[in-house]
Amino acid sequence: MKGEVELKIHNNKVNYNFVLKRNVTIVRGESGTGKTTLYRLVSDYMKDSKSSGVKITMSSGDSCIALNDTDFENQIKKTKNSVVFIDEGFIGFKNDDNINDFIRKIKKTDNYYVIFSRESFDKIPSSVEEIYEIKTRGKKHTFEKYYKINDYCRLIVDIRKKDKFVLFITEDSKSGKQFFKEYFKKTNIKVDSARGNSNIINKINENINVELLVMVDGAAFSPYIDKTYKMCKYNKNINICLPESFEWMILKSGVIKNKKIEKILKSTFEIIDITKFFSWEKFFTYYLEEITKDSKMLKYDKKKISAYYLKEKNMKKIVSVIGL
Amino acid sequence: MLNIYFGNMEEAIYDPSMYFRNQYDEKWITDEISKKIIKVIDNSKVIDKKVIESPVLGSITPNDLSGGAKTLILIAHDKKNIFNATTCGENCANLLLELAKNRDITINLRYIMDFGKDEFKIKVKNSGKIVKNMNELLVEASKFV
Repeated sequence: MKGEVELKIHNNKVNYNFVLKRNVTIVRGESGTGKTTLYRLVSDYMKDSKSSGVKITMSSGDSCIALNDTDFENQIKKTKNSVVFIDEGFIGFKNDDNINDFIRKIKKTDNYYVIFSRESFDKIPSSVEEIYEIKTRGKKHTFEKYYKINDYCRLIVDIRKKDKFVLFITEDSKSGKQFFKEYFKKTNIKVDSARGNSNIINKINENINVELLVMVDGAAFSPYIDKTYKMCKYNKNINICLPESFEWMILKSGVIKNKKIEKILKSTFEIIDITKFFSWEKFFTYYLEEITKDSKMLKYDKKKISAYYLKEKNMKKIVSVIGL
Repeated sequence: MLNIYFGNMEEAIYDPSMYFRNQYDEKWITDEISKKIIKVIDNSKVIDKKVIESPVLGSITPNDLSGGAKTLILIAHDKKNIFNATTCGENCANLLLELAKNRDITINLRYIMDFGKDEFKIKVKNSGKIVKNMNELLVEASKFV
């Protein structure tokens, strides 16, 4: 599947209307909001389509599937270009072996997955932007963003705190760390790397009393956002910044002159091949490497950032993307 | 006191909704604690042991309750088993603390539930450490989940 998909799913009592934008959407939130009811509607529709009494309309894609515990391997094999719903208690999420096996099966498929779970799966690196809760107004149910990003975590840096930060932590141990080390060289802000998203929480715990600015790849941070968000909620000194990725910042900044970039960033969801790029941050790295590979000066290497990106004027443009 | 084992716990009932469907006792539904759980979590009213009135779905059976409500009812009544309470959203936190006021309750959680700003007493079973607020719980539980 490609692009945004609007779904309308209803019977005579409830009416769900929502839009999916990426290959993985996570739905969590309070108990009793109607997650299982939605799953059951899709499950009923699968049994006897319109005769089930459930109506489903999709703006694109072939079908909606409710993944069941006993036959999910066959279901995934047979399902293409569809929206797949997975309910709480799914056997494929019971333990690490099951999860690893399940992820192997869904990677490289062209379906969109809607996962009802509060659990965080580090093997499913989806976007913090695509985590929702269900809100009800009468019969109408819609998806609303679960994490109110500007409450505790921010897409850009809280500029009011700019001069207070003591430590900057990035998940990147290579180009991103090299870049920010250079950028903060003349300040008192120390730069450290968590060496991956999964270690961010440990780095925060090690520096729990320090005025911290943490930057992570929002496009792949969904497995860690819940505890990180709560850390920010209960510790005002911890500040999280969630751009899509460091490579996205470079693309967005305008330091590479290429007319196609703006279009690519605006309509990534329409362009990205989800069978090749399970999460968007891999796509942004690939795309940045691809459009700079023929230029000696601009060539982007994830292992070692080139001098071009470390020029003062370019660094300023790149960090301005996150409000610094 | 509330005891929580964080992360995958082999001996816990992984899918409490399925367990509830096969094991719940109709008598549970009409007692005061179940009525309270059903009111607070699902905003629904118990009519009798087989019928619950939901403002959204109309008349439903106990099997149609939310995963969170079913898990809390199991925790309140089935003292033999440990349940995966990941099916409980954060609106279940106060009821979990209330259930654990007068007896030791152990649950399994695969996420760090927000128990709010007030002080509490929770034992993180993985390490044995007792924590008294969300900050302490976040630091301790994030080692395991």
